[in-house]
Amino acid sequence: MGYAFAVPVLFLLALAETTVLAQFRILDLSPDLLVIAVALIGVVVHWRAGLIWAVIGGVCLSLVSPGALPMGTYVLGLTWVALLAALALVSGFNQRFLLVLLAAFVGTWLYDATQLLLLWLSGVRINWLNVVSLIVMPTAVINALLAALLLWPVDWLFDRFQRAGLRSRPL
Amino acid sequence: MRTRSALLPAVVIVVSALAIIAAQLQWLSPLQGLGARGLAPVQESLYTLVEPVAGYFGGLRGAEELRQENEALKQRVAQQDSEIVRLREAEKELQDLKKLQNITSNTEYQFAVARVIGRNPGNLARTIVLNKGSDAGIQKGQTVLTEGGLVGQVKSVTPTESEVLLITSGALTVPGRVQRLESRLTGIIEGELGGKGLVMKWIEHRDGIARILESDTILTSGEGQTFAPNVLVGTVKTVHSRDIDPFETAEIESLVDFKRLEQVYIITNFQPKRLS
Repeated sequence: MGYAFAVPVLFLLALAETTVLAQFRILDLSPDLLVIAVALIGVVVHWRAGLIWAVIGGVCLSLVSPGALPMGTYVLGLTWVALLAALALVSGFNQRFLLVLLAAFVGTWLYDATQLLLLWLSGVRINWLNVVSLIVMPTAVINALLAALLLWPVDWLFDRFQRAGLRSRPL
Repeated sequence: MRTRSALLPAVVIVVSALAIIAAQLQWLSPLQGLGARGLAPVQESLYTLVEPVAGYFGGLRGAEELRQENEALKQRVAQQDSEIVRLREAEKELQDLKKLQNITSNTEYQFAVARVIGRNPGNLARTIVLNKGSDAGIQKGQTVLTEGGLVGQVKSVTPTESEVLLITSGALTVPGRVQRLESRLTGIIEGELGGKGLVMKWIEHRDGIARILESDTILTSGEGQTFAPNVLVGTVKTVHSRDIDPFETAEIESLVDFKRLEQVYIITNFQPKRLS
């Protein structure tokens, strides 16, 4: 089973992010489902699994919305989220609840910073103050809260998978 | 094993960076279009399925907003009724002149109608995905609008889908002009990512004549042939002038609700010469 499981799940999440969540917005913003998923997998399973999910998820987002940003941008942005989980684990930090909050919150900043840098380099005019205060910061809070809320359900799910022998093994 | 683990993130980062560069150079266009080809029906079904539910919750959330909007629209309708009477007179006069001078109109656009079936992931890029593509005559660079005015420009096309960059994205520059005959002032209209709306800029003449007034209607000018001419952009909300700035600016209020776009029109018989 392994990472083959990740492909349909991430593809559905990418589709949901661009169709369903685009219409249900919180504070006029939509949560980044892929950031949340990578943060959760990075913490619950292993950071390397999170990295693989970041690559597959990033490609799915680029396929679903090909004109939004150049291919590779979402992969790069999501990679920082997976690496945050890795950095925290390497430093010996093992409070999973705080770890997932941190990975989703700081990860959103890095994910958005990657996109903003690409947009700015391609000549997009950006009102930095408004973007940071009205888009990046609230999205980071929403993503962190949702990731924290989903920690136990995802943990339980992967525990069931592990018992059934379906858990993705780290590389 | 440890080395392999350490190398993996570096490999991913380098490959992603190379993919971004390749995509910017348009080398990955066939690959990027590949996903969209089969996805249009799935995206359309999902988007349409959720639309009524989202509309219901949106209605609840925005009841007060709708009431205020209704009041503003009533006032606008009253103003426009009197404007229509004046314009009918002007139209008759123009028809008479045309008959006299044998002038033919060149602003008869042909439209493709498309439904919005998706949006960009996240909250930063400003694009919408449409359920029609090159099979319906849509091409890259064509002008997209709604009943409320200009929406944006087609950025990428597959046979069954197209993606539109919104004018509020900060990535587009639209040549515009004031509709009022006494003015006909031209300038550039820009949005800004994170900004509150559209802004028109023009070089100040410093001769004391006000060439742009509040509530002036702004249209696309067609200069540079990047956008189809004579498409409504919006109305002037406020005009700003600063002595230290060579440009004068005006905030433009669009009637398009960019957050709730459902159906758009694409002008298919105007081909841009140079993409902005």
